[in-house]
Amino acid sequence: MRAADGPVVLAACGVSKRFGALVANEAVDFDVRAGEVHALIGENGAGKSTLMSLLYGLMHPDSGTIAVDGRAVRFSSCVDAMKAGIGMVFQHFLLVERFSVAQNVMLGREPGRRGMLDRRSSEKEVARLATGYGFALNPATPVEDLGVGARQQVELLKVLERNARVLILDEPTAALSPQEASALFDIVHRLRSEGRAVILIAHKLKEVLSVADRITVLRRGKVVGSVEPEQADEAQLGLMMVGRSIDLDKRVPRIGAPADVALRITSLDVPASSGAGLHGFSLQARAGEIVGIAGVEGNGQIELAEALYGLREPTAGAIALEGRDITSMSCANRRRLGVRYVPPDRQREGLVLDFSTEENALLGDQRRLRRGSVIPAKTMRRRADAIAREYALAGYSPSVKARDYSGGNQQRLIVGRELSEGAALLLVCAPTRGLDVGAAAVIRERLRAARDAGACILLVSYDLDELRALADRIIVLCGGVATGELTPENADDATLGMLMGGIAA
Amino acid sequence: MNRLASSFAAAALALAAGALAMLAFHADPIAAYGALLQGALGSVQGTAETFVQTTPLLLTGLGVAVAFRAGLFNIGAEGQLVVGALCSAVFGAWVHLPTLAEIPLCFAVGAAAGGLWAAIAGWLRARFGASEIITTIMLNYIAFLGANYLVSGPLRGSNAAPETAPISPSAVLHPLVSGTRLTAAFPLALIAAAALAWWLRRTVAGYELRAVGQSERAARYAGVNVGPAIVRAMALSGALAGLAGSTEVLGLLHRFNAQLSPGYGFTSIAVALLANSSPLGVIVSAFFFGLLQNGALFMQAYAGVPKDLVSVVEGLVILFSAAGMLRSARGRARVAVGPEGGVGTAPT
Ligand SMILES: Nc1ncnc2c1ncn2[C@@H]1O[C@H](COP(=O)(O)OP(=O)(O)O)[C@@H](O)[C@H]1O
Ligand SMILES: [Mg+2]
Repeated sequence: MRAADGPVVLAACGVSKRFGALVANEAVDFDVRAGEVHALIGENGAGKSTLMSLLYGLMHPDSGTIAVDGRAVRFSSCVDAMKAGIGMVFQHFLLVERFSVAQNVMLGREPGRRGMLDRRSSEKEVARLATGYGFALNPATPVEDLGVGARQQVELLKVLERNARVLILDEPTAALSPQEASALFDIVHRLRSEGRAVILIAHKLKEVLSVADRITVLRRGKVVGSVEPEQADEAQLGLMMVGRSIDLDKRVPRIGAPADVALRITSLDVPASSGAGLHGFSLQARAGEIVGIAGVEGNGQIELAEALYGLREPTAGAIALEGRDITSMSCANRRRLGVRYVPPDRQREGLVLDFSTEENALLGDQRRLRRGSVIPAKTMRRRADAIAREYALAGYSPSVKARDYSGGNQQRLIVGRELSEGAALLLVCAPTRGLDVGAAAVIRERLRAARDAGACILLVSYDLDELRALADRIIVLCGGVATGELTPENADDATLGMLMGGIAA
Repeated sequence: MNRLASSFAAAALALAAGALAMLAFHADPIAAYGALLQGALGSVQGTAETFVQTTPLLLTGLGVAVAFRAGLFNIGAEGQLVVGALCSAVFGAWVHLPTLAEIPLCFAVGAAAGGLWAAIAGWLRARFGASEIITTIMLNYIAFLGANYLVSGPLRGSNAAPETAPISPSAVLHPLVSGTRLTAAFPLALIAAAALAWWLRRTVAGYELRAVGQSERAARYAGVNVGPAIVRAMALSGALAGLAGSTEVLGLLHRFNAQLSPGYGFTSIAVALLANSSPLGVIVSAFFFGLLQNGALFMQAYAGVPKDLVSVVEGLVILFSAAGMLRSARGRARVAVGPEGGVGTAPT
């Protein structure tokens, strides 16, 4: 079944692309066959998206050619690429929020008569397609009401509706929970068995190894090599990607024994926003300890984190930090006590994208560090410089906007800021989601260092390997209730899975 | 294209479109714009009068700009100007203090009144999520009609005309240059622009206001109390418009009547848009609009082109400025499509 030997349908032959002095792609050879899943991996900035833009006709290579079915082509835009049967799902969703699923899928090709839209038939068409792939989507639902997993399905439908033979998926799993990701991979397998060619960009090596027929590694714009999953393992791929060996999921035990109890939560109730809410949750966590919170997304994790951070008011229960009751303290005052937060949505919650790097480096501490009523310009600059130095922020200058960094660098900036002065309580949500191994390794190392320096860390993660690698103990949430507590050694997938599903272990 | 270039392009395109309109009616655009410039800058009196026209546009423009920076669309500058003018006129007529005390107090009353008026819309937005676009428009009507009622009834001076009693002589701002109407209000407005630029860039309150404007959500996560920040931003915006009203009363009319403003508060939206909400940019764009408005009569008299053409140009400036903004927003969405670099801008 693996190692497809269908014909090559889309190929890049010796393509190079420069942006000024930067070489984003250099003499890259890459192809994909019908009935094959070809994974492309590499660090952020390795040139993966650039290569895809060349294949999809969004840009032209400086040299080299693109070939469809063995014939060289020159797409004048992605419209030509679509006509040639190529479809692409971008790293970031491109959906019209207010439009329904059907309107988004049919955008630009709405069926109609004499200038009148035929909503009924487009909804019927989309429903047929969605059911065919087992998507539980109502074509009439506005996209703004959908979660990330469902949005991803809408993006896929957009491509499938055009009956693309080649699908390019640029980091489709970056924003998905593990459950949603594995559902996506089922679809990918299905597409392959239909004889379509799939190019998949992803960061999680385990996923890549399980889903791909062929894996190509890109580093600094060059192809390092192609391997078949049977002959590769995570360590080897990691080495190819970054040029040195990284064992991301290795446990590093903490130095010394944990200190006193720092955080005491007693029967906390927090109302839900969209998920489950939190019910009767109690926890004692020590300084110098990482407590992992496991669970399927939307089972009370965010409610817990935001109640601790002071953005959500609990309806019952109490929170004490270092013996002090902070249950109804404002977020700004909690920050003064050393409560720090790395939120799950780095672009909308962790950064002001149009602020400069130095302004972002101050975010959240603008009041604590102010000099009179004036911004502490020197502190702000020094902080940004220090983060850039310690976290190797690529492309740093104090005035660069946060928007202009890659996801990995944005996350480094946030973590660097939240850890810049010793934290008493550090709340961290999905800190390495969608990051490449290099960036993820830096972040994990810093979290461990913060723990060793005496911070009490609450780590919400949807990545079980991450929890096992970082946490000193793992608490499982299901439906807003703690269903169990495990040591990382005992937290195998099966046990965690049962607790996450609400079945007592 | 950077923002400065885009502003100049918007102004140039608007003037060019105005020229086309003149050509269509067989008027000579070169003669018309020449007369306009001659009227606006050709003499000491003309130049001084251009600055006089610039002053309220500058102050209200700053008000609209600061609201924009907080992510708020304050369409109510005209109403806030009227409320500020009325209150400082009443106050100025009522108290008799030494000039050095009375003038600052009159300004303070005007600013406070305009600020409170705008804060209503800010509060409705923060508390109930009511769109400030709608509420400021409604507050405009309340201000206009309320002021009309007051000056034709309870607050009418001894005069038969519907206006308040004159302010006390110690509240009058005298011309800086004799034979002109140019008062200290103009340099004060310039100082206000510089102060606002500094405040936005360098103070914690300014930083938080900009954070709220760029991303309300991220600001909340940074511990900013977003509701009060919105109310404060609207209050500051309204205070600047109220100050504009005070300058008209103290420097020009010495009383309040309904003809006080030819719509400065509305033109100020174009002023702020053209300046891209940069306080220092507002100085330039307010001057541009002041020049157009002041030169318009001269253009009508000497080139036979109706002065309303200037309103057309103003409208076109809004159109082209907005088009420029759309363009840059689109550009950003496109980067998100292209590789890396741009991150996560969903097209809106
Ligand atoms: N339009 C562009 N202009 C300038 N530099 C770019 C542009 N697009 C990408 N780059 C740069 O090219 C390199 C490769 O980027 P990209 O292909 O997006 O990497 P990846 O998708 O592997 O993370 C990065 O250093 C990026 O900053
Ligand atoms: Mg990419």
